[in-house]
Amino acid sequence: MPQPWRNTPCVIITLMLTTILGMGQGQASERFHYPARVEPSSPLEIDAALDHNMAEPLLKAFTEKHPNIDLTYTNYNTFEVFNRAQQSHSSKTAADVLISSAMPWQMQLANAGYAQPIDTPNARQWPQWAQWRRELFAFTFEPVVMVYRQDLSQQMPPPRSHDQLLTALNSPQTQLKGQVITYDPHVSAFGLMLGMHDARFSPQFWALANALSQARFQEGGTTNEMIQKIIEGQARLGYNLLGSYAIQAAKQHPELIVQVPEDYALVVTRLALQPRNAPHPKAGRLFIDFLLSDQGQSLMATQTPLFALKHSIQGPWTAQSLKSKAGTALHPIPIDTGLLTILDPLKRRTFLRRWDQTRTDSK
Amino acid sequence: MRAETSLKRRLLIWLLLPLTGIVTLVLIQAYTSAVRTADRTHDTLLAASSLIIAERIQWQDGQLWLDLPESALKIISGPDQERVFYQITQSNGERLTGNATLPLPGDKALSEPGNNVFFYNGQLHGMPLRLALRHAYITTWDQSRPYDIIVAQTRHTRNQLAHTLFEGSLLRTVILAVLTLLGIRLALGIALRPLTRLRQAIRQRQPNDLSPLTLNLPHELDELVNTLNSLLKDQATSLKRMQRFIADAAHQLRTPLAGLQARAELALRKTQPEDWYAALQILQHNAMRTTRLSNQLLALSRVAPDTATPHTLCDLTQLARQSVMDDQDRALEQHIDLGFEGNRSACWVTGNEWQLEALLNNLLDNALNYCPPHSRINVSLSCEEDYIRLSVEDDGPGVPAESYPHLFERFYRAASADTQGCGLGLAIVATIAQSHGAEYQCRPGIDGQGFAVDITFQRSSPTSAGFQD
Ligand SMILES: Nc1ncnc2c1ncn2[C@@H]1O[C@H](COP(=O)(O)OP(=O)(O)OP(=O)(O)O)[C@@H](O)[C@H]1O
Ligand SMILES: [Mg+2]
Repeated sequence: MPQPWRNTPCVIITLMLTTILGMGQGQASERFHYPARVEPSSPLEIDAALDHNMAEPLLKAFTEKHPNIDLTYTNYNTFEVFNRAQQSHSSKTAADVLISSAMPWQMQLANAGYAQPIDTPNARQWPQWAQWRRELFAFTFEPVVMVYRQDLSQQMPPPRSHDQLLTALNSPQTQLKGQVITYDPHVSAFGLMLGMHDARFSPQFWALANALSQARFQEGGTTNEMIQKIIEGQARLGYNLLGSYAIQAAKQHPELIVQVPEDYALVVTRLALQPRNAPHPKAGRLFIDFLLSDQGQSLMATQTPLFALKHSIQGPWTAQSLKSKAGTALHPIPIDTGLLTILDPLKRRTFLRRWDQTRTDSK
Repeated sequence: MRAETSLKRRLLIWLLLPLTGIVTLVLIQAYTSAVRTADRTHDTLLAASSLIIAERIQWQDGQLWLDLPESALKIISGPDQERVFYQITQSNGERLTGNATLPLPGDKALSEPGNNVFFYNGQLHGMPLRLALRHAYITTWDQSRPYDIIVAQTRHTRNQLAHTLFEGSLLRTVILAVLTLLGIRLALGIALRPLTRLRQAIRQRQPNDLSPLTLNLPHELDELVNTLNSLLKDQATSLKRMQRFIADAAHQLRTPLAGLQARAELALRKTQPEDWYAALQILQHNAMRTTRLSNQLLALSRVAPDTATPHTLCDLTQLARQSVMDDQDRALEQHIDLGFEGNRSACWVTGNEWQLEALLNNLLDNALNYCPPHSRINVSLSCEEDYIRLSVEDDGPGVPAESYPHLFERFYRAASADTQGCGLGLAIVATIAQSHGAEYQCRPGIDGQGFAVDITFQRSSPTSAGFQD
C-alpha cells in the first residue's frame, strides 16, 4: 500500500553506547528500521560496518524491490560485527547478513565454517577472485587513498605517490610536520591490515614510517574521525584513508582532495557473508544477491562511492573506471586465507614492535 | 536340452565368481591406493607449510617472535579454497598462537621414532581435517626450546583427488571386466560347440541305426563317445541275439507242434477207440515235451546276460543242500544215490538266488535224466580262498568227449540222449554262470565214468567279469 513516506526510512535510532574493546573508543551503534509495506512480511537483520549514509541508497532500492521485507540495519564498528558473530552461538542474536570491511575478521569467520555458501544466479557468476568458497563475497572496490586539504597545494606540490610523500616528509623545509594523520595500528585493526600490506608490498614502507615519525604524525581510529580532523584543519594530509568515505566527505567539503596513490594503491573490499545460524536465511540470501546484482552494483557506481566491483557496470565509481585511471597501480587485497595471518597475535606483535621502534628511534 | 544350458550356466557362474572376487579386490586396492596417493600429495603441502612457519620463528629478548607468512596458509588452502587452521604450542602444552584449538595426534603416531612431522586425521566443529604436527626447536646459543606446530586443512581437495584417481581405475576395471565377460561368453560358445555337434549327431540318428558315432571331437569327449559307442554296440549285439533267439525258438517250437498236428490228423482218420487212445498218449507226450521246451525257452530268455538282475549275497551251501533235498524223492524213485558233499558252513557268493537255483536244477535234472538206476550223483561244493567250485558228478553213461565243445550250445543234444530233453539245459547253465562271472566246464564224472560239470566262482571280484556272447 503506497504511503507518502514509504521511501523515507523510519529511522529509529537506538543509540546504544557501547564500550568497544580493542578499539579504545566509544561509538554508538545505530539501528535503522525499514518496515515492510505488505503482509505477510519477512524480517531481515543486517549487521554492518558500513556507514548508514553510504548504505542508504542500497537499502532503499532493496526494500522498494521487496516490499514484504522488514529490514533492520544496524551499523556497528568492524570489531563489534565480528564480536557479535562470534558470540551469536551462545547469545542467539545472529544476524542474517554480515557486512564488514575488516577483511581478516570476515575471513576468520568464513574459514571457521561460520558462513553458509550462497547459491544464487548472481553469486554463481561472481568473479572468482572476489569470493571465497561462495561463502564470502566482496562487493565493493574501495581504494586506499591520501586525502589532503586544497590549501596544502598552495604551499607545496601535493604528494601523488608514496614515493613523493616520503620525499616531501624528508625535505628539510617540509610543511607537513605535525600535519599528517594516519591509522593507529594499535587501535584499528583496519589500519593494522593496511600497514602490514604496505610493509609486505615494499620494505620502503619502513622508511616512510620512519619519516612519518620524524614528522610527528597524528593517529586516528577511523577514517571518518581523521577526515573530520582534516576538515577542521587539525591535520592537512591523511595517509591510508578509506577512499569511499573520503569521496563521500569530499562531496560536501570541496576543500578535500582525494588522491589515489600513483605508484601503488591498496584496494580493500567490503565482504558480505550469511551466518550458518541466520534466522531468516532466505531474506538474507536475497539481500546478498541484490548486492551482487546489476541493480545493486549500479547504485554503488552512481549513488554511493563504494565502487562497483562488477565489470559490466557503468558509472563514475566503478572498479573498471578506477583501473582505467590508476592502471596496474591498483592492488586489491586478495580474499584468501592469507588474510588470517593478519589476525595472528605473534605477527601483530612483531609488526607493532617494529612500528613502535621507528617511533622511539625517531624521538 | 536342459542339461546343456545348465552346463553353460555352471561354467559362467564359476568363471564369474572368481572374476567378481578379483574385481572387488582390485577396486578395494585401487581405492586405498587412491586415498594414499591423495594424502601423500597433500601431506607434502602440509609439511611444507609447517616448515615455512618453523623457519620464521625466532627467539629474541626472551620472547618468541613470528612473522607468520601468508604463503604458509595459502599453500594449504590452495586453489580449491580449503579451510585452514594452525596452532603453535610449546611442548609443555602452553599455547603460543593459532586460529583454532586443534586436536592432537594419538600417542601411537607420536611414538614413531626418527620423524619430526606427523600426519593424522581429526575433526574440528564436525569438519573432518587432515593435520600435520611438526616438532621443532628454537635454538639459541645457550639453549634449545622445543615447540609444536600444527597445520590443518579440510579434506575436500584430497577427497576429490582420491575420487578422481579412483574413478579412473574404476572405469578401467569395469571396462576390463566387461571385455573379460564378453571374451568368456565367446570362448564358452566356441568351446561348447563340439557338445552341440554331438547332440545334433545323436538327435539326427534313425532309431534303428546302431552304428558307432564317427565325429571329429576334442579328446576330452573321447570317453563319452566311446561309452556311447560301446553302448550302441551292446545294443546292436543284444538285438541280434534276440532276433536269433526268437528265430530259433520259433523254429524249435514248430517241430513238436507240427508233430502234434500230424498225430492228431492221423488219429482222426482212425475209427477205433484203441487207436485214439494210443494217439492221445503220443499227443500227451509231445505236449509235455513242448511245454518243457517253452519253459526252458522262457528260462533262457530270463537269464539272458543283458537282462539286468539285482545281485545279492547268497549262501551257496544252503542252495545246493536245498536242491539236493528237493530232488531226493525223484532219486529214490529211480533208485539213484543222490548226495551232497561239502562243508556245512555257509559259502557266500554275490549273485541272484533264483538263477543259481535254476542252474543247480538243470544240472541235477540232466544227471537224473540220463543216469540209469543204481547210479550215483554227487553234488559237491569246495570253498577255497580265492574261488568257490560247485560240481555235479555222476557215474552214468556220460557223453562222448568229442561232443564236449558243443554241449553248452543251445539246442545241442548228444547222440546218446533220449527224446525227453530239448537241448537248452546246459545253455541256461552257461548263461547263468557267465552272468555271475563264473567259469564252467564239463568233464568225465565219478571215477572217470559218467559226466560232470564244474562251475567256478571267483572270490575276488564276483561281478566284474564281462559278458560274453
Ligand atoms: N549227466 C549226463 N549224462 C549223460 N549225458 C548228458 C548228461 N547231461 C547232459 N548230457 C547230454 O548233453 C546233452 C545236452 O544236455 P542239455 O541239458 O543241454 O539238453 P537236454 O537235457 O537234452 O534238454 P533239456 O535239459 O533242455 O530238457 C543232452 O542231450 C545229453 O545227451
Ligand atoms: Mg537237460
